Amino acid sequence: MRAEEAASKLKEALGDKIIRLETPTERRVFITVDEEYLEDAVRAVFGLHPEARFMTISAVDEGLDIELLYHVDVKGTVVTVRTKVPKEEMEVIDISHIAPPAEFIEREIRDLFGLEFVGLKPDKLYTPEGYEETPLKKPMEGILPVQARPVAEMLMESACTTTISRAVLRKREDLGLPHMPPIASAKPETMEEIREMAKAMGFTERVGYDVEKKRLRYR
Amino acid sequence: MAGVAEQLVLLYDPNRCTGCRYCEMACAYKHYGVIDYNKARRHVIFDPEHVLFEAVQCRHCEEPVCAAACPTEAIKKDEKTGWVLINPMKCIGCRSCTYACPIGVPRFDEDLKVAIKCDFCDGDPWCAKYCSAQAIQVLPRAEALRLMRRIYGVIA
Repeated sequence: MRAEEAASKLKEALGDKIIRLETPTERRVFITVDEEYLEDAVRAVFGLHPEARFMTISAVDEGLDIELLYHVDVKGTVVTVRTKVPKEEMEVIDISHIAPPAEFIEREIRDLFGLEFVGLKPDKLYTPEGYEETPLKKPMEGILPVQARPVAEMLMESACTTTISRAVLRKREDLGLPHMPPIASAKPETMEEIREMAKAMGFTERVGYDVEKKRLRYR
Repeated sequence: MAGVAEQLVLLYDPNRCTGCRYCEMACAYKHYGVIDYNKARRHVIFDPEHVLFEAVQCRHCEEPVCAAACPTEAIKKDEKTGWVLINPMKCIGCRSCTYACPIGVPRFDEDLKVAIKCDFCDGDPWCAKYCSAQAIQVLPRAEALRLMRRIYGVIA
């Protein structure tokens, strides 16, 4: 099965559940889905062909999230389902009822990253009983250095990161302008637009800003 | 009672096997609760001559040599299912079966001090369940024989 064929079938089966669909080569397909649609996506991939073969799961600690990549060989084309699990949750659905061999890989990931697979047996794979460390899990850190974090939060809250100096205030007075320039944060619709823009540009995801809680996911 | 042709057996297709050894992991985990290839009751070996993987697994023979060699009748072929099973309470650990089997399937367990071999996981073999390449299949004996002949190019 060629990548284009697999991609069109997945698009048909999953529709809007797919966040991103890529076919970098004629034997490779990547689909990105939200964590809640992971099971649907894995089922759809296995539904592509009766001889679809589960290969492995890769787990990558990206700082704020654990990225999981489920690789399935569909008659020579490798289809990878990509999803992200926020470190605040650290829980994802177990897919061993769809692909039994995934059980060992999931247990390995749980041992090494501390990620819980809901429905998986509690047995460990590598690490000894009583050992609670998670050797491959990194601290929850985003890309921003400590000094830039308040600036990013201020930018998202008020769309302004600098204060007005006295010299500027004097100049405004000389020119007959109002004491303070119009402030974006005073208009909720402007702030909403700015947040939408930041989201569309990938800024919020990249720096790890939680739009609902209105703060960075890490301090 | 199922006829011999309908009895279930394991069929291994070397053309599909990727050599991942998940079957061995699953077997050891099912029977011992650990991931240890040495404890598995089936093994996958690489055949450099044919550049293929080959499995050493119990065929649950129609006339099992291991059972014939057992001095205590600990190995019996279940008439209903066709599975060749070892009764560990009867086994004295003489290792006759390990020498008698033409492909060396029974193994002497140094911890349990008895011979062990594939018990077909009570009808739901974990090796087949965990084989994502579908190289191991559970099939009726007649169908498995037909496929085996096709896989190995034997004309009956």
